[in-house]
Amino acid sequence: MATLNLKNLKKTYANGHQAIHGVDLDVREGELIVMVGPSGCGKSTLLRMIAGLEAITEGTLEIDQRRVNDLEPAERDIAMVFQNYALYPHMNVYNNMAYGLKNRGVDKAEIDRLVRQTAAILELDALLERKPGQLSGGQRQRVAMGRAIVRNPKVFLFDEPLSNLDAKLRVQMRIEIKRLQRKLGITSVYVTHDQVEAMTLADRLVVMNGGVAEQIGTPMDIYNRPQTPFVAGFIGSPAMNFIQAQLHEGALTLGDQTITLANPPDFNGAVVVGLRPEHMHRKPDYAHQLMLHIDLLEPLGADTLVYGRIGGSGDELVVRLNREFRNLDNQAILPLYFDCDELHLFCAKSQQRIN
Amino acid sequence: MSRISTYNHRLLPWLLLAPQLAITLVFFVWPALQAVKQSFLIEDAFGLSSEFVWFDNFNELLHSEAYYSSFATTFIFGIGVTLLSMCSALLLAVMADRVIRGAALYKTLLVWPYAVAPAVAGVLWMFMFHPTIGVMTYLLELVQIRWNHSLNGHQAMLLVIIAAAWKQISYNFLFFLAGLQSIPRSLIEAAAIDGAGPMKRFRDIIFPLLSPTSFFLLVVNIVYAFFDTFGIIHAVTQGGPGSSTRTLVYKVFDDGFIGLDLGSSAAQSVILMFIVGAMTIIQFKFIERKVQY
Repeated sequence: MATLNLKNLKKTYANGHQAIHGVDLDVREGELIVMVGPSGCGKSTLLRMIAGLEAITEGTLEIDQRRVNDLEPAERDIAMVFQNYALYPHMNVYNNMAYGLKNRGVDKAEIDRLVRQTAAILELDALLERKPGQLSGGQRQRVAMGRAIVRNPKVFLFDEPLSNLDAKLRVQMRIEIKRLQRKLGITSVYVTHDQVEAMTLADRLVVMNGGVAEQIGTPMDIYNRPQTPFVAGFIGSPAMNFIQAQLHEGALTLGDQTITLANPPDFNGAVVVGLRPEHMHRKPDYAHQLMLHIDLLEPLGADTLVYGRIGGSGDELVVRLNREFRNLDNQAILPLYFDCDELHLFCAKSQQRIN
Repeated sequence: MSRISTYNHRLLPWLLLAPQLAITLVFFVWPALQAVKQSFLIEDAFGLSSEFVWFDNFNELLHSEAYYSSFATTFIFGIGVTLLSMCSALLLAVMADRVIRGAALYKTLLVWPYAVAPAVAGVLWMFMFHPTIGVMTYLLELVQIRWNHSLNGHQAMLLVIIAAAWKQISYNFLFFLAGLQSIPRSLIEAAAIDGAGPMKRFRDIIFPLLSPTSFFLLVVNIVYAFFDTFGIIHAVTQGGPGSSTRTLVYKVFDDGFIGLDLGSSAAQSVILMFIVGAMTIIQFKFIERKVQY
């Protein structure tokens, strides 16, 4: 159990490219932090800086209140699960797990006890003599986890560990990782580009964009109150709809219609309105209405996605409706209802939340 | 339904194979058969007549002390060249793998010696270590080492080993570098996190993963040292002093073209053919099975 503190962490490469523009983050004991963002946002770089695989240009990194900036990866007492697992192909499962312990001079009997105990937790008992080449993707993933767990490190680092698995196995391993992390209570940082993985695993999420942590918070916080259009669009599936609009004295003009907000923010001018696909409904139980010109339907089984646009505005919208909606009568315009509390308002200029 | 397209033409396949077959027959099989034929013959001193003597040439070789000592020389030379060239190449490759700036230039320069002809390489080293005008000889003199490879058999052996190894380093370097670069970076990083220092990482991770490359190079280098170094030895020592650098291949030339004992020379060639054949078989067997993992 340990804390992890990032204080204004920056990374500039030798060629002058600044990859990380100062990230602050305090990870509590036993917390699972997920860093999520599109590729190239710097999340993996940040993870590798925590691991000690990339030098820190500026700022302070502390593990358990101890500055570790200049320590070798091995001295930081961390363990990492790599995207391609990075198992030693010439060693069997047992030796893969034992290698870190051997290097730390743990005695043989203790290594044996730890490896077997870890193998039991991960149900690897029967595979200890196999080489990585003889294992399936899921089993390799488990060995990689085992190699990390067996040393009982202060911090776990995961670098997109599930991205090489097929969809079904991914869901299964995701649940297993969460269960294991809860059980062991080890402080963890998990990097992924998959927002479903991020939402389901995280105690707290760090949404990264262009080397900056755009927002840090619990998954529900971030879902309910994204601070920027980027975060709003990244978290949630299908992505949030954005409509260019004008706000004046509490009256919001969306295309050719104007609605009066119940709790208007103190702002006049151009705004970006965010409205999630699941927050538009067919039942007239909500205060506001908009008319959707339907383009296309995408039946997903449980839900149907409806693509279209609202009159007087070019912005395309997607709406998640119940599967019973089939548009049998081929209607072109669909009235939809929503609550103005579900609207996310961002200043068009500063890209910051205003309500 | 077979998806391999078939031709009803009977002659076409043979016609397409003909050029390659002709080259193989004329330049490889025919001379080899000539050598086999010659190995059963003995010629008179003027080359006017020859007599069929069955295995006498082989018999004589197997009872000749000079032949066994040439075997020993070849082994020492082969092991020396292989060890020296592989170790230096591995060291250079490990270092080149870490070079970030100017890596391409560095690699190009390291590959150059491979383009130097064996005889030229030999002459180059011969002049550097020349007993009277050599640069290295002069420098060695300063540290009280008297270098004269035309008198000292051990020095002669050392010199041909260095010259032959130098030429082969480039080749080994390329293979080792490719081998190193095919090891995923994350494996090394995982080992670093697992608490292995640079030396330990090399011993436990990198070296075992390079073993298929190393084994391939081992065979190639031994074959090179045994059969492909005539030019270097001829340019540097001509097998001397005495017979201290007379390897099997050099002895074939010496006995055949200097001593004009064509029968014995041919018999030696046939023995060498068997050795090459055996080595090739070993190589294919092991390469197919892949070493280590």
